[in-house]
Amino acid sequence: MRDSELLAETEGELGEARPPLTTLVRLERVEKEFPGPDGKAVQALAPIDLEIARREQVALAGPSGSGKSTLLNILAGIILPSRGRVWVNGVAVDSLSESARDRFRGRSIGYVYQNFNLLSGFTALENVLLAMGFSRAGQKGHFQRAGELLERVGLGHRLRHRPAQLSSGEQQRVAIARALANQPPLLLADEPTASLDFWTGRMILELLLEVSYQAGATLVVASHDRDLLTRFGRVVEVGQLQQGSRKVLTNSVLSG
Amino acid sequence: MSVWNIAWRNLRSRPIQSWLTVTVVAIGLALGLSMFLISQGLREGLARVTQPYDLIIGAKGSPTQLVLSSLFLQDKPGHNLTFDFYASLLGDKRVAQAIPLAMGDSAAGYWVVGTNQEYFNLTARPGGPPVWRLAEGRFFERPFEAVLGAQVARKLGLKPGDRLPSSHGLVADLEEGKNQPNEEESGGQTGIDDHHRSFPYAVVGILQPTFGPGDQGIYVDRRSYWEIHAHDREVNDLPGLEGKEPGGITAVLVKPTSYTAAYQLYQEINAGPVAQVVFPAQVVTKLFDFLGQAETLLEGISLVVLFLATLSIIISLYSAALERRRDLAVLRALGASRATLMKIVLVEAALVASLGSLLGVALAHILAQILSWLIYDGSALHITTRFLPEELGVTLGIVVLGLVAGLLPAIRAYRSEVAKNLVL
Repeated sequence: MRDSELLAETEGELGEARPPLTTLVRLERVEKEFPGPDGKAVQALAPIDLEIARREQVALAGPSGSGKSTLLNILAGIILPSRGRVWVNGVAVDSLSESARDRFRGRSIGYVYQNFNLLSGFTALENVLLAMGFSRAGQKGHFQRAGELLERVGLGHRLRHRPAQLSSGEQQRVAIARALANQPPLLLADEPTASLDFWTGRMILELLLEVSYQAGATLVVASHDRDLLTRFGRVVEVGQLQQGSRKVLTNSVLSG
Repeated sequence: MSVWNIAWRNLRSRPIQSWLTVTVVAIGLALGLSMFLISQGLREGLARVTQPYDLIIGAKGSPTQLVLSSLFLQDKPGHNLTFDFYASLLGDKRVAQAIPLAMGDSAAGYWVVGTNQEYFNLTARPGGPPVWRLAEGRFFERPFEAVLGAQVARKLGLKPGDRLPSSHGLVADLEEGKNQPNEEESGGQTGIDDHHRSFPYAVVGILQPTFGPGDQGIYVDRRSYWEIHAHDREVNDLPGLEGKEPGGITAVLVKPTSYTAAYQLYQEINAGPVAQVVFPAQVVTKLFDFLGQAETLLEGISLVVLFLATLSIIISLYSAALERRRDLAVLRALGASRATLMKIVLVEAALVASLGSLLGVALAHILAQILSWLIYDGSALHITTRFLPEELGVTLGIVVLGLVAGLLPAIRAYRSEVAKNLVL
């Protein structure tokens, strides 16, 4: 299914509400609850409104448990919000069927995790190829492109290495190359530096900022590392505010 | 990257588990299939051996023993028939051909079959080529000339012009513990006694292999027996032999003139007190029944092993699906659908089952070949273990079984949660 078809799928009653083209992400009063052990709903993400422009680089801040990862998973279409609307790249993600969300994710989302999430049985090159397989199956030039992506993250000499043969910094580089495999408009990163030492973390962050900029992708990074947040022009505080509130912090507010 | 590729890599990433499962499938299949191949081959082989012989007549006793001793050269021969009886058969209008067999002596561990030259004209079907053809030399023409079965010649390294001694019963084998001599019947003689040793046979011909038990026989003129056993005759004074043609006939191969004649002979002789008539094919069918019981048992065993193999596929893939919860979640996060994950696990199951059944078929044929060599070595009965059309069906069946076994793990993979497993 092409993007236009995905768009068509959410047309109709939702069509008129679609956000303008300069906006990549729009959340309207999005919240998430999970059933707790006693059967009562536990709030995982307090209601949030958020708009992110194309090519913007945004940090999601907040302590652990504030709902940063939940928000990223909602953006990726991995989980659905309990309430509210989610548009990504013009697609109303919350109204897609599960298989349509799988296709949407394969095509429109690159995701980098704290624990890298590389497949241990596959080489660096194959990990990147895997991502390509699920979105544009059967396309030629995959090998070359996967090689180029690894080259771009500085791993041109490690194509045939398996994750266990790579340092943690190198593994995260593979994960970044994999996230870029399908030239997604939205790149998500959940605590991408938390498993790395300080300097490696810094390098990885710079790499993320650089490659997402070069690729023309919007970058949303969730982190509780205040130091890291200073590299972003916009920081969104998640989960600390009362229901219905929304707060967007700027760098000057943070440092001031 | 295709589903096949991912499934294959998944299997390779846990080689011990995968190979163990493949091996269990292979053994389960090989066990059942090799026995099936052997019993099929055995049926064909046994049936082939009896083809040239319509009726066998021997002294009263066990029909199975009569067939085993005279056609398969496996059992000790029973008592002898009188010459009068043989003469009456020759004079019977319902008998087209009656070939005498004198048995009981052995040479170098092989039975010596005393007969006449008609024996070498036997055909598997009317008008067909003779069963026995010479590889070397000529057929015997007078007493104490011997024509050797192919296996005898090969194993003893004999050629025309060589000599070999004979003895009463399979005495030479006693030392090897290979067969059962009948020294009790010959008055408790053991070892190659001097009396027989003084009548060595001259090898005049070697037969081409027939890949039947006949390859283990030494064929001599029936009159040799007569002369060797002159001594026994004096001692035991067998009834019906005095002053007559040479006797000592153990069995007679009879070709009746018609089907009706065969049944008349069968009923008449079996009703009388002297001899029994046997349809070799009938006796072999009884052996098949016995074989069938063993087959049923082995079928049961191999079904149990196949059941265990199915279980082991389920366990292996299910535990792999649990172990790889995170990997499956990552694939989902990369855009793979639940159905794709299910396909991957099912393909893994199909790959394990296919590899297992291919290996099993190969193993079954190797096993069957080894068994057929052992059987040929022991009985000269050649068992062909060719590929049977049933094998394709069995192989496909195993793959289907594998897919069924993969269903539960596939459903497990289908239902795995993404968000929770991504942070494992």
